[in-house]
Amino acid sequence: METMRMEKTKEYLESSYEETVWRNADTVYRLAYSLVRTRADADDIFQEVFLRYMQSAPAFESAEHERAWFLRVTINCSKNFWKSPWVRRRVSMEPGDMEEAAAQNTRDMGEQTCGAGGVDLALIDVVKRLPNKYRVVIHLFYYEELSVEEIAAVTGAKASTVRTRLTRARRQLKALLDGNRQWIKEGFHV
Amino acid sequence: MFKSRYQEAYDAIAPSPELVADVMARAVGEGKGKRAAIKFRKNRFARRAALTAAAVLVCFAAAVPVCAARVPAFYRIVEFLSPALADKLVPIEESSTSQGITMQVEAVHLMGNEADIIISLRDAAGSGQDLVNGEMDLYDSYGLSDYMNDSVIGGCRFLTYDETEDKAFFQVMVQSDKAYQSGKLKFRVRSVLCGKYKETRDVDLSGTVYEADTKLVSLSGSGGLMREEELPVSLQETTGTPDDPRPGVKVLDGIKAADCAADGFTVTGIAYMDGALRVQMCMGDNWKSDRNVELFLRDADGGERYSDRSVSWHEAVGDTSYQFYEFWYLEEIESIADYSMYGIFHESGEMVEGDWNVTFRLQKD
Repeated sequence: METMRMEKTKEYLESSYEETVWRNADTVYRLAYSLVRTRADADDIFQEVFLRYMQSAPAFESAEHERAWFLRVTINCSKNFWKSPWVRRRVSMEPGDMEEAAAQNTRDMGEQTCGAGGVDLALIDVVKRLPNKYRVVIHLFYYEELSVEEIAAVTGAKASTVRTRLTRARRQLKALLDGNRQWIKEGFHV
Repeated sequence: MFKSRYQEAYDAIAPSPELVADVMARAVGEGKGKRAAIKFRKNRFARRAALTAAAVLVCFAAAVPVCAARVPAFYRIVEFLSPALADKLVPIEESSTSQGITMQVEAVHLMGNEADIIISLRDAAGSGQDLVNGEMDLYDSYGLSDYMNDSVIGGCRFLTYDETEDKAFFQVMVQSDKAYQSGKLKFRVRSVLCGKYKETRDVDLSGTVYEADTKLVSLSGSGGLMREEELPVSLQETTGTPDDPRPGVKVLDGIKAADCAADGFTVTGIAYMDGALRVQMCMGDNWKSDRNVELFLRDADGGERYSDRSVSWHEAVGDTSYQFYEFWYLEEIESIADYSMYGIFHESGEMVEGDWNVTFRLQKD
């Protein structure tokens, strides 16, 4: 058992940059996309995360350690993204959220974007209407399947705060989804 | 379920091969981190400048002047909630009266085998009653048919109560197996719940006990944020028997069903055991009503949350079946005095059974 663990640790210590990118690309991109509005913004965060990885070259002790590092750094990069003057100015210049309107227009025309089907896209859109702090916990809980304690460790929040945020996120999500025909028909329960 | 839908949606999201290749390419110039970063920033600026230009164009193209001088209440409401739907609705404005309540089909939007129907309810003129005065519910008793084809599934959303017109508005969404044929259609409702209301009340935790008897019950439902395997063993479900295949669980042996209010909420037990605060509540005779409750545990910092998991079961007394819930909050509570609890109690009000039928015609496109 001990030998297996040491071999696993050695594997992570000896992973090349490329291997690490492949292992974490989807996780980083999906979390980034859940926290911003567009693929272009997710692309930026994705690059930023791996740039940080390249520059800091952390040595991971385990798969869990590596995953937690990438999740934490993606969240931090997303926070910086939202703080950036460009994004703040863009929000104030576009009260109607032109990108959202354009995306809606695309959906109305029956087209698909982001590689997801219509129903999936609608769900992603609804979740994206939640405040950032709620989107983080929703994604980590429902997609990454982290426990409340693991989310607390990744986000730096107390477990009780994570529970509160999950509660409020679910409440807001339920209200938003109640307005969505597709989910009502399918008897959706958050 | 939300989780599987969400996971499926995000499984389809992935970085483009070009993006991954770009990130990989940086590995080659690992020692040139700063240069890579500068290049990256420039790309971002160019992309955002293009995005801004595109947004301005969309802004001009989408700017349509709107004039809404005299529009029906239903249209104003739907326009506010869903402009896309409002544009597609076809006004109907046909009504039917039963039990002193008038149902009006305000507007319809047919799309293949799906239909959105906006209806309103109001007290019939001269009925002398005041049943329609706030939130209501159609109690899943609605349907749409084109005489060949009937709705098989649906959802209903209470929109609002409009005091000016004294009407309660709903959006009903139905789906049938085959596409609806425009022409003659019939919309029906069989029962309505009047006087729905919700009330926020504190739940007193001061009587929490640290030891209590439990009893095994057969569950009618369970769910929550926490997976069952994460629960303490004492809260985990047991498998059913050949006679009763429903899973069982040990709940607090609190106030008996016979001592609960049939038409109200009763807190039947509160205990902190095995690392979990357990709050048990009797919902009364919920077969004939639609009562539900949301209980929130609040810590000393004001942080509040739902239960981690809840279970429900029924207990019969004579002909009355009482529904019980037990809510579990897994928390290291050293001093229960630091915590408080409040609930949002949803009361269903009075059920009125009737026969509301509206037949209308839709022109073929």
